[in-house]
Amino acid sequence: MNLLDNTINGIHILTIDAPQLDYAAADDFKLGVANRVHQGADRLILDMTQVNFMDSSGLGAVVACMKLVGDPKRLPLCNVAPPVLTLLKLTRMDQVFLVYPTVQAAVEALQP
Amino acid sequence: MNGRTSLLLVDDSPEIRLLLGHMLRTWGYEVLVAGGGYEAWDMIGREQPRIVIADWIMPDLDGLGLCKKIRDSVHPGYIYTILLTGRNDQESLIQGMNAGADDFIIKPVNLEGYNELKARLRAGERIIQLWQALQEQNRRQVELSDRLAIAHERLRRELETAGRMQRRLLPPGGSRVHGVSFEWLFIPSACVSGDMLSFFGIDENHAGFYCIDVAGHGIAASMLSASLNQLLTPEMDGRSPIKRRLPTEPYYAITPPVEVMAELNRKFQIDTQNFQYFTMVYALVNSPLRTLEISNAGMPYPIYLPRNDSAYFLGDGGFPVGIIEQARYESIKIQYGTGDRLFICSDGISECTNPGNEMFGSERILNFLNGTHAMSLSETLKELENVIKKWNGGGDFEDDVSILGIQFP
Repeated sequence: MNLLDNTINGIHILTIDAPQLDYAAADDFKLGVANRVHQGADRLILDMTQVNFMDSSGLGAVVACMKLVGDPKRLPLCNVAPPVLTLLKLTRMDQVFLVYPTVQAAVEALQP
Repeated sequence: MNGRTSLLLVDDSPEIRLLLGHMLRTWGYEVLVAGGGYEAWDMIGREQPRIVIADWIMPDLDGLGLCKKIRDSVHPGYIYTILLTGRNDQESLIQGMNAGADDFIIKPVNLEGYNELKARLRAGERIIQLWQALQEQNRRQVELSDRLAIAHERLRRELETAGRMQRRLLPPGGSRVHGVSFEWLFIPSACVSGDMLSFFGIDENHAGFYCIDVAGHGIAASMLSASLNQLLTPEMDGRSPIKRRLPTEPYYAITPPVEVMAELNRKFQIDTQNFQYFTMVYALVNSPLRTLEISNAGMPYPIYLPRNDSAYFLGDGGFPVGIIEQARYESIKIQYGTGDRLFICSDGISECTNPGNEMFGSERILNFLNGTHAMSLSETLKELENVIKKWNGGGDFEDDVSILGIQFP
């Protein structure tokens, strides 16, 4: 599991560089996000462009990260592929996470 | 072991044995002597010296023959051999090496000769030490891998036992509760599963059933699923949320599915230490009223198959149990008809991939069920099992697979 870092207007963009956020990738992902948070990233945009599948372990990992930053508003998701969105809807988590179509839209929403 | 390297000196000349033997002792070796090849061979078998220095030319068995015998046999340690020769030509060197000698030296006659022998012996000792270190390392590796194999085998047996115990928690398939038929399919990905399902009568009019899928799989998931199985009973033990004691008539209350979900959600909130949550379907059947009240906490949509109509997905989903503290749950109530069926599948089926990495998907389950009106409930599950196993391409499943099939009277 590789996470790519980028910063736009002081906002940390984290791109999940893996096609699947699943049982095998969940722990690495959680650890990666935790490292960024401990290094001071208090607002993270999760760019899920590459992720075309997420299972319940992957969802659990994203929720764990959300709990870590303390507020779903500080961890918006963007570029969410349809299968991932299906899982978010099934579990109603689309009502908890802020989901944006693009990184740009998420950045704008995070601007004060 | 006294720390001194044992050395066998073989020469047919008593003078050499005396002179060279004395020198070798002063260098710190424990010296054995033999006057000929066969005598030496006997001593090697008995004493297992680390180094053999042998004269090339001897009357019975010569140095070359002795080297060959040493190399052709098995010894507990490496025996380093040095041939003593009067000759110093390339041909005899090759001959000696081919016979298995490690080194060669012209019989020492002066101080330079002795110094050379001493240096060569030290080089030989280094090789012996290297060999011993390697032996020791190998021995430890073998021991370690043996211990690992034993530990692995023990763990596997324990897991298998745990798997059998977990399976015994499942109610018998083919059961009827208030006329409602239940069949299930349960395939753990490892020996134990994070999936759990059950059904039971709650009073003479009500039956309940649930399916649970703990996120992840393996031991940790199976422990939570087993403890949920123990908790979720229709016994009024004060812990189970399914049925509560009341002080007045009828002295009990059946908890509506949404409240069961809400209570479990409060009880099983994740924290930073424990990040196990689960998805679940819980439903109540009222047999006199012929209604089904069902709440879904993030399991794949249950599939309803009317007796004379097409299958469809039931409900809208809901929050998994344990991840959102303030989660509100919903339920839907439907009127069932005779012969209608309901299927609740864990995501191990929809997310099961074929060798081409394509997922089975919920639509495929729905389409399959649409062709099963003529089959019995148990035939349907058996056939679905075949289809899934074929899709999976044989071998173990990546995730736990469980299906609960229900047929209404």
